[in-house]
Amino acid sequence: MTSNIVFVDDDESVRRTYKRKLERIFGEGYTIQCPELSYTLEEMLVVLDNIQDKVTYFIDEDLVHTGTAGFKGTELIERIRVNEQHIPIYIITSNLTWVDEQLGDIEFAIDKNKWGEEKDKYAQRFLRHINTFRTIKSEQGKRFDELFAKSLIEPLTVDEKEEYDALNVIRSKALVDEAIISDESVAKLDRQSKELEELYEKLKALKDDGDAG
Amino acid sequence: MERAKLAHDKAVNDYYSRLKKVRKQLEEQKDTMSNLASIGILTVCFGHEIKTHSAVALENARELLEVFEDSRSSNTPLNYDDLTEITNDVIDGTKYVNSFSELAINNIKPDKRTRTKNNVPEIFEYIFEIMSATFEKMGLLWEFDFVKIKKEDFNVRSFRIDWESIAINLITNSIWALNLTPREDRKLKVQFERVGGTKLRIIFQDSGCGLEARQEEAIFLPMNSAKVDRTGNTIGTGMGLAIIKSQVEEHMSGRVFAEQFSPIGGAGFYIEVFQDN
Repeated sequence: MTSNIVFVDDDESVRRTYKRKLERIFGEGYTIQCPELSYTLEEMLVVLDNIQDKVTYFIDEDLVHTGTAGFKGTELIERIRVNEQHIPIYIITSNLTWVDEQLGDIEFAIDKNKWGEEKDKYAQRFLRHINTFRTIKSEQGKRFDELFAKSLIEPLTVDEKEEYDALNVIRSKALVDEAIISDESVAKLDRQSKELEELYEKLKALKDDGDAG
Repeated sequence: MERAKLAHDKAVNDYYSRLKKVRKQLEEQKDTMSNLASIGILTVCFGHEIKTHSAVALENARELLEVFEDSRSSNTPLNYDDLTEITNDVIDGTKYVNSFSELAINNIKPDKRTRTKNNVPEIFEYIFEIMSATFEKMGLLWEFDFVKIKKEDFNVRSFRIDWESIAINLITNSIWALNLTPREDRKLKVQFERVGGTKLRIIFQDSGCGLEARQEEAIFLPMNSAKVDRTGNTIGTGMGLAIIKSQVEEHMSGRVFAEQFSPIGGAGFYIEVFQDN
């Protein structure tokens, strides 16, 4: 199975050009996905979510020029980062002064006109980032399996449940986990059950009094 | 005494004629500076696009080399459909850059800086034609409309360069204002009309975001730019409309004003000038 590299640009000729370029850089084992843009951020996130096994994003900053999208590249990146904290994201632009190169959400910014001159150096960095991302993903996967196995036998602690939830979001398909409960949930259930018991006792006492009267 | 008086008159006349010459030179310099400012604005606005298209041309030219090299080193046949597509992308990118350079270079030709009878719709058509590839990419539809006047009669005594610069500045503003307008709603309309007698009016409208409230007059002040990026940084030069105002008022004795929202949704700019029969 191949991994997907996602290239986001609103201009068809740019997509065509960089699809070829990226295919040449990444070679076998990778597919370059250049989705059509949706107008709203929410719709676009759904389009991206439907692409499985993503390992890198390349996103152009000026996505509004052709009028097919109503958001900038940095706005899209901000939203992607909410769920995909470790995936490498590069912002590409024809004018570096228009983007914040130190933006916390990205690996680095690429000037379209300079990319060709330094393509081997860039390729090295892209592949290194993908490897790091895969290592993180496999460690996260292992930890998720551990927590899941534990949850089947005993309740998770509050911290473990939080960690489990975070890892579950990162997974490509979130596991439906209504059955997994934490210590806190068990304690809450105990409390509720005790309260119900007390209520029952009170009602019973009232009924007994009534019967006696 | 008489000789001294004659010498004095001659000196004064010489002084005035030199002053007249210097004044003419200064006026020419001022006009050239204003033209160069327009080219500057054009460069700022389209620099981004020029870079995008030169990058496409450059990347595809590099791709051609790689394809040839691959074919030679591995003895695989060339795919002619791929080659045609790549070459067409090189040509399109280069053509795009070429049309903008042509406009910039033509703009400084001296014959454009001589005051003469100009057919204004013809100049707007020329600029719109140069911009047509950009408009097409943006999905922007445009139309010219004539009210109570024929195209060939809409003539104004003026510098051609002024009108080119006016058209470029107004288009530049509209492109920015249309940024967040969905593709299918992007429109530009230029109306040429006779107000009455020799008084003519050009109404330039777009379907963009319009002007900020109560900014209709302030936008013509120098160094006043409403163009900001999403983080609030000013990205305009703040000189475009100030230049238009001085060109219309000082060179053509006309007037210019704006409205927050025009009938097609975005800002509207009105230029009133006088017909040259």
